[in-house]
Amino acid sequence: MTNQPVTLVKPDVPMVPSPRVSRLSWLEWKQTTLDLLHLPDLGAVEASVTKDALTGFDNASADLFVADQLRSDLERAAEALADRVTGDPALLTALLPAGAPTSMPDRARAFLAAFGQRAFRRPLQASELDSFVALFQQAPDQFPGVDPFTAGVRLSLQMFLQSPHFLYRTELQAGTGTIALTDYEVASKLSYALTNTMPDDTLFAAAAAGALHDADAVKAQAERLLALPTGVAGLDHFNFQVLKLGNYEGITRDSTAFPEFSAKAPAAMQEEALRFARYIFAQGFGVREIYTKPVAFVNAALAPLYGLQGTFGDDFTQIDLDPNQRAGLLTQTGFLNLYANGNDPDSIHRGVFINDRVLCLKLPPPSANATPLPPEDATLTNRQAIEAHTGTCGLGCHTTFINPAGFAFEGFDAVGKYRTTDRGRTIDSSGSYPFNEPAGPSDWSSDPTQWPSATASHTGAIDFSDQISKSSQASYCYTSQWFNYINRRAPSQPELPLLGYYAARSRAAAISARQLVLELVTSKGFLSRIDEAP
Amino acid sequence: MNFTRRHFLRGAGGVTLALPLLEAFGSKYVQAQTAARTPFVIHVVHSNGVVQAGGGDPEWWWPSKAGPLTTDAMVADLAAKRATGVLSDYATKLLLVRGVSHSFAPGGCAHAAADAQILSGTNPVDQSGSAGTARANGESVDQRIAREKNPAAGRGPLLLKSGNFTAGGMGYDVPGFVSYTGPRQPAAYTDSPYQAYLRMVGVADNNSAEAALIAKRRHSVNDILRAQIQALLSRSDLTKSDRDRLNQHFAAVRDLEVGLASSLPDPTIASMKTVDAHPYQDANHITVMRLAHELMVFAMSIDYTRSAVLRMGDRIDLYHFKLADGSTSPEYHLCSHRQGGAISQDVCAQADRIQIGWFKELLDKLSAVSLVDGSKLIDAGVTIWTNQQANGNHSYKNIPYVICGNAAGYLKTGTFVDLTVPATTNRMLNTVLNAAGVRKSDGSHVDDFGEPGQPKGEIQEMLA
Repeated sequence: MTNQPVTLVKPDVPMVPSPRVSRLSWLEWKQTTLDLLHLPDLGAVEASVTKDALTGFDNASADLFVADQLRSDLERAAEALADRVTGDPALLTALLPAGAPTSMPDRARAFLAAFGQRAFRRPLQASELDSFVALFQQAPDQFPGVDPFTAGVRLSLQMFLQSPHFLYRTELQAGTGTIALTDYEVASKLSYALTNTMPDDTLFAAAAAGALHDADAVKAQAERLLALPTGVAGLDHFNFQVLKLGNYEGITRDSTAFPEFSAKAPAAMQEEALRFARYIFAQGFGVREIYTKPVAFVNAALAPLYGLQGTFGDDFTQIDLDPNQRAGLLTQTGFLNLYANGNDPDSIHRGVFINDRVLCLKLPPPSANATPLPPEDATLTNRQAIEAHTGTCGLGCHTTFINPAGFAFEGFDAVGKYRTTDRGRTIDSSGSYPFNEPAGPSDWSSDPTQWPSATASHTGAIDFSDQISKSSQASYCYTSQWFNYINRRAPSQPELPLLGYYAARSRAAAISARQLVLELVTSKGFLSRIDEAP
Repeated sequence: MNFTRRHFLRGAGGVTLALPLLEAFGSKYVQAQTAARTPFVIHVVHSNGVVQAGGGDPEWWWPSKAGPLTTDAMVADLAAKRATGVLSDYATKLLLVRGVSHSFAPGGCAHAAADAQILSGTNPVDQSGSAGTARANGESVDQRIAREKNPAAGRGPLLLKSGNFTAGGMGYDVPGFVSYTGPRQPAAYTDSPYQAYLRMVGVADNNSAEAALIAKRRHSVNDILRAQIQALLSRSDLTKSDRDRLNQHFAAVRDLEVGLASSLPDPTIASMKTVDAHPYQDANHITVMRLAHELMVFAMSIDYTRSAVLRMGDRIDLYHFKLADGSTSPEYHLCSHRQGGAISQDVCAQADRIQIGWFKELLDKLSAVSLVDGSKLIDAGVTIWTNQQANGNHSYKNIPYVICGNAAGYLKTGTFVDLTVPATTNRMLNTVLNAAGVRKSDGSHVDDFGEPGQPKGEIQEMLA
C-alpha cells in the first residue's frame, strides 16, 4: 500500500438518467408532515403507517413505492391528522397565511395557495388551485355540523397529505440535453438530502428569489443546513444506517461474566457512535481520523468498558483515550460489542463487518456445507479455536479477508475491554490483509474490484486501523456510501471516475467528510438531470 | 368444503374467540357476506432450519416412518426427540412432506436467498456478498392468493412478524422478506399486532351514516388524487421506473370499504397495546406471536383475508430460548450454526420442539372455532409450518413442510409423505395455490408458478 497523494483533475463525467419521481422515505414523510402541520409529534399516527421493506439505505428511490397497504395507511393517517389539526384552533390558525382575508371564498383560496405551496414544495398552478377550491367547496356537505371553513380545510388536508406531489419529490422541468433543476426542485433535493425533511422558510425564500441557480449559492445553503439541528439529525441518520446502530438495541451480555456491562450500555454505545461521527464532521476530519482518532464519548455506562476511572453520569464526556490501545471507530465499544459469541468476541462477524461496511468488499456467502464450530476448548484461545475451525474454508474468505480483519481486534473482549491475554495466553492480533490499491491514477476511474491487491501486514488493532485509514479502498467505500445516500441510488458506470476523484482526494486527506458532502450536493449530477432515452 | 360467512358466524365459538368477539359480529355486516368461500392459507415461516439428518445432525425432526400418522406413533417419535411428534394430537389432520428443495443455490447470503424464493419460487436477484440484499424475482403465493381470492378487491394478505428486527427501514440490514407483490417488490410485515388490528377493523361501522360520509369524502379526495397521478403519467419524459411506481400507486387508489364492524375482546386489544412500542424485542416475542395467532384466526373467521403469513424470527436471530433445565439458550442463530457443537445440537432440537409447540398453539386456536355444521375452522383451510432453510448449515435440501387441514378435501391428511423423487419448491407452491382454489386464466390448475424453466406441476403425492 502506497501513501502518496494522488493528483487528479476533476473529471467531467457524462450525465445519467435518474428518477424524476422519488417517493419520500418513511422518515422523510414523518418529518415533513410534522413540519408542514407544525406538530410536535404524530401521536398514534406514527406507528400506524407501515415502514418500507428495504435492502439498502432507506431513501433509495428504486425501493420506495406506494402499494395497497401503505396507501390505506396514508389515507387513514391523513384523515386522523386533518381531524387533529382542524380540531385545535391554534394548530388551524398556524396553517393560515398572515393577513388572510376573513371572508369566503377569498379566505379559502388564500389558505389553499399558501398551504399548497408548502405541501407541494412549489407554487401551485392555477388549474391546481381551481380544483382544490372546488374540493374545498364540497366539504360543508360532507362534514355536516362543522364550520364550513374548518370543514374545507379538513377535507383539503386529507387530499394534500395523500397527494403524489406531497408524497414524491419531483423533478419535472421539461427540456432537452442537460436540464437544470428549478430553484424549487433544488431546494427540495438539497433539503431532503441533508435534513430528511421539507425546505425551511429560508430555503423556500431562496428558491422564490431564484437564488439557487449556481453551485456557490447551493453550497452556502448546504452549509447553513448542516449547522442546523435537522442537519445534524440528517448526518446521524446516515451513520445510523451505515454503522448498523439499530442492531445495538439487541446487545446483551452475561451479567456474571461481565458485571460491568449495564443495561444502559447499548443505548450509550449508539449515542457514542453518533457523537463521534458528528465530531469527525465538525472538526473537518475525514476517513483518516474516523479510523485513527483515539477519542471516545463516555458516560457512566461506558466508562467501565474503557477502563476509565473517575466520576461519570448519564451525560457524555469527550475523552482522549490511550493511543496505544484505542484508535478510532473500530476500537470503540459499539463496534466491539456488536458481535459476540457467548462470552467471547465474535471475531468472524467483526471481520465481516469491516469487509462489508468499512471496505465495501462483497464476500461470497458461507458455504452450505460449513461445519459446526467445535465445543469450547479451554486450551485454545478464541483466535486459535476460530483458526482451527475456518482454516480450510473454501475460497479462502476466512483466512484471507475475514479472519485477519477480525483478529486485529482480538485485544478487545466481548464487551470491548482492552485485554492482553486470552485464557492465559498472550493475545495475537497480528495478520495481513490484501487491500486493493490503484496501480496508478487511471485506476481511480474504476471501482476497487478492478484494482490490484496490495497485501499489508499489521501488528494489531492500532496498526490495522491506521492501514485502513490510509487505504484507497476505505476512502472509496466511504465516498460511495455518501454518494448512494445523497443521490438515493448507486452510481452508474459513467459516474465512477467522479467517485474515484472524490475518493482519491479523501484518501489524500485533501477533502474532509463535510467537504465531500458539500461537493456531492453541488455537483452537476445533483443540480441537473437528463431524460432517459426513449 | 365451502361454507358461508353467515353460517360460520352463527356457529362460531371457542376458547380464544370469546363472547365479546361473537357479540361484535354485527348482523348488518353478516348479511352482506353470503358468498361461498375458498380455503384460506396460513403460512408460518421460521428461520435457521431444523435438526434433521444430513450435514452431520441426527434425525430429530421427521417421524420415524413414512406413511400413515397415528397419535401413538408420534408420541413415541417425540420420546425419541423427533420434534414433529409434538403435534401428535393432530395426527389425522397432518400432511408432512419431506423431499422439497429450493431450486436456486444462493449467490449471496444463504438466508436471504432462501427467504426470497420460499414463497415465490423465483431465482433471487440483487444478491451481493454476505449482505442480505436478495429479493424475489416475482410475486409470492400469499399475494397471489389474496389478489385472486380475497373477498375485498385490492386487499392484500395479512403479513405479520414476531421476533428480531423491526419491519423495514432504519437498520440498513434488513429482515428476511418472504412476501412479494412483484419482482424486487417485497411487502413489509406489520410487527405490531395492534397496528395490524387497527388496519383490519377500520374506523367505523360500515352501514352507519358516518361511514357513508367517510366514503363520500374519500371518493372526493380520490378523484383528485387519481387525476394528479394520471397527469404525471401522461408525461412522456418520465423514466420507466418512475412510470412503474406511479402505475402501482394509481392502482392502489381505490374507494375501499371503510372497515369491519367486528372486534377482538378488550383484554386482547389491551395486550396488543402493551407490546406496540417494541414488538420485536426478545421479551415480547412470545406475546407478539400469540397475538399474531389470534389475529390470523380472527382474520380467517370473518373472511377478512384468505391469505396470511407469520414470519417467526429472522436470519440473524438473537432470540434466547428457555430450555427444559431452566437455562437459557445462546443466541438462536449461533445455535443453528452449531457453535458449541453437540451441545447446540441438543439446544437446537429443543428450540425445534418449542417452535413446533407454538405452531400447535395456533392449531389449537383454529380448532376451537366451530362451524354451524359442527366442523372446525381448521379444516376450512390449510395451515403450513415451514422454514427458510432445511438445517443450520444453510442446506436447501429437504425444506420442512408441516401442513394441517385438507383444504376442502384437496389435500391428503394423516400421512407423512417421504418423496422418493425430490420436488422443487415451486411445485409445492403450485400445490398450495390449487388447494386455495387459484387457477390459471384458462381455468386449469396452476402448474407454472415461480421462475420459468423449473419442473412443472403439483406434488401428486400430496393430493387427496
